[in-house]
Amino acid sequence: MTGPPQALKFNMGDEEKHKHEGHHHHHDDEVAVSVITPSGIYPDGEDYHKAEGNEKIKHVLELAAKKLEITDTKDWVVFVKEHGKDREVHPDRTFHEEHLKGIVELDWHLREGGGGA
Amino acid sequence: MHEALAKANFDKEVAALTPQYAEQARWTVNENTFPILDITADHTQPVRLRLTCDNWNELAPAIEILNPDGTIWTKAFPPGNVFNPGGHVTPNRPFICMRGSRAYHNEYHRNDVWDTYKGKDGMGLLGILQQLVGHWRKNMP
Repeated sequence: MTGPPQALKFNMGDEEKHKHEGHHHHHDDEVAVSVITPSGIYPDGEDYHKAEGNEKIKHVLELAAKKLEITDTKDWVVFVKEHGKDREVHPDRTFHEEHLKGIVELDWHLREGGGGA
Repeated sequence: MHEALAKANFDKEVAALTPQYAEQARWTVNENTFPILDITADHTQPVRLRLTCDNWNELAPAIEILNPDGTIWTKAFPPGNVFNPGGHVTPNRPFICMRGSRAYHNEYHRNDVWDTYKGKDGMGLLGILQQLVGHWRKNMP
């Protein structure tokens, strides 16, 4: 009876270590995302949506559009505030490809346009 | 449009402008009672945009470009003509030359009618403000 529990304990230790490492790694790769849109804020202004760093930005935008019932996002653009300036990011890139880490607040809206634009 | 209907349209959209939204957008809300939506956008050169939304959304909002203290903006404008220092209709009155602005549709670009944009995703009051503030922040030093 000592064998299996030890093995189990040993395995659990490995699993826990792996889990811990994975967990740590997971946190490094995770971004906390909030999106403001013309229809409101996603996920809700109280919390952030957790996304993977290697996840495409547009995946989170799709979730925001679904929740906020936005259907036509043609010609929309995404910005992040960076060093006091707004920088446009590309939705087809991942958060990491756009050098976005930690808390990421996106500003998503139609590109300005008209006679003067 | 009946005023009650315009107010209902206005209130429904402005309800999304929560304190959390304003904080993340970096806007100070000066007034949000029908028919006025008035915000100041945080920036090294902050700008105040005052929207008069009577007949919303039958008419696009009339938009004033102001200093944070409420006086008319008379300093330099961002490159391009979205923030326009004044045209032939109102020579000394700055106006917004972009779809979504009453002056654009009713005075300067009568052939580009508001009905084309009315009710479309992104062309509500907050969407118009996002576009304008985004343009300001991108283009003002």
